Amino acid sequence: MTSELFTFVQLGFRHIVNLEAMDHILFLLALAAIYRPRDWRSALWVVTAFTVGHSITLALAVTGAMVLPIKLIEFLIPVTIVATCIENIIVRDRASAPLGRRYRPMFAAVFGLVHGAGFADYLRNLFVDRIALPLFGFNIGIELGQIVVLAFAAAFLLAADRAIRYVRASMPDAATLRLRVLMVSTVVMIVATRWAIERNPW
Amino acid sequence: MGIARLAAFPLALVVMSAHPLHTSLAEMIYDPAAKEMRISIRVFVDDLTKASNAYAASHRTTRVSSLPLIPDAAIIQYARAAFMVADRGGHLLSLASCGNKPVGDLMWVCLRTSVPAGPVGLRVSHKVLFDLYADQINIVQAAYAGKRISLLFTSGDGFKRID
Repeated sequence: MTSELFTFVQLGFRHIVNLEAMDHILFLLALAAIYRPRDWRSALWVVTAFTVGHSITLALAVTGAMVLPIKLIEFLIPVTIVATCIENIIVRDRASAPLGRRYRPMFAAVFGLVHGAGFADYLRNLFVDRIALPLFGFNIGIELGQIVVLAFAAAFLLAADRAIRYVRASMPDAATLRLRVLMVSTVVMIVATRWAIERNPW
Repeated sequence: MGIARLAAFPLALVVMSAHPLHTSLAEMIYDPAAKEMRISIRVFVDDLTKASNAYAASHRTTRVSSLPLIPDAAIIQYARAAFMVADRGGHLLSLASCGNKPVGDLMWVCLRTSVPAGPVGLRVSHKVLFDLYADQINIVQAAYAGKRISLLFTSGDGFKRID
């Protein structure tokens, strides 16, 4: 049982940290783009909410309780990334947004529902007879992978801040953060838009 | 230098692409009455077709045409080359086909081998689709005597022991 659990933890972890599977990494980067190092708890909450969301659809889809059109899901995954980037750019005062501090975790959880459905298509057929333990291990691996990606995203975002300050030394912190959010969100949005066009199911 | 690297990141992202999870599963079940290990390799049909074609082309064997007319021989040849079982002494065991079965988007490739000394200490190598995807991850689940062992294979892995 231990080897089975550990195997699926590794599978989930490797899937998230895989540099060729950029859709999940970019989604996490887009989610993390608005946070400063001191906001790490908020970022972790958002990522955990994303895990909860995708765990729900993953479980429903793998067990056959819900059948999802995979072409549509594959298209919706980059759409969630684009939507996150647009939210990053448009919403400037999240404290006064509906649901207050819970707003962004809920937003991530809803988008997690879509990403979970994407994982499910590839796991459902493979693990038809014993689902619970592989699913549990896979989700733990995904969460661990996301924490690692989040750490790298934080380092990348810090580097972006430093690069901005190198060019504009007198720029205030709030303006630096805003410029970083705009830069990262714009680039990620362009990439995700390309994927959405490529995966257009209609 | 730091800024140049930072500027290169968006360009790197643009040329990268999203892609599905590349995973396959092989289930090995020991039948103590027959002293036989039965193996079921579950692979997505489209990937298996590509890999079997490439293998057939490089070895000048039966070419897999297109779905749904996949000659079993080509698949079996590829599966035998990519999935191997060795005994405790490291000698490769001969794998016989027990048929291929399409299940949804997957092909279940059935192989079997005689293991008179039992399954403990057997070594297995699961390289199916490693030739197709650098990030392919394969899982072997072996069941015998009420035990269940899981092994994970990534590119570059060799044989792993079942025990």
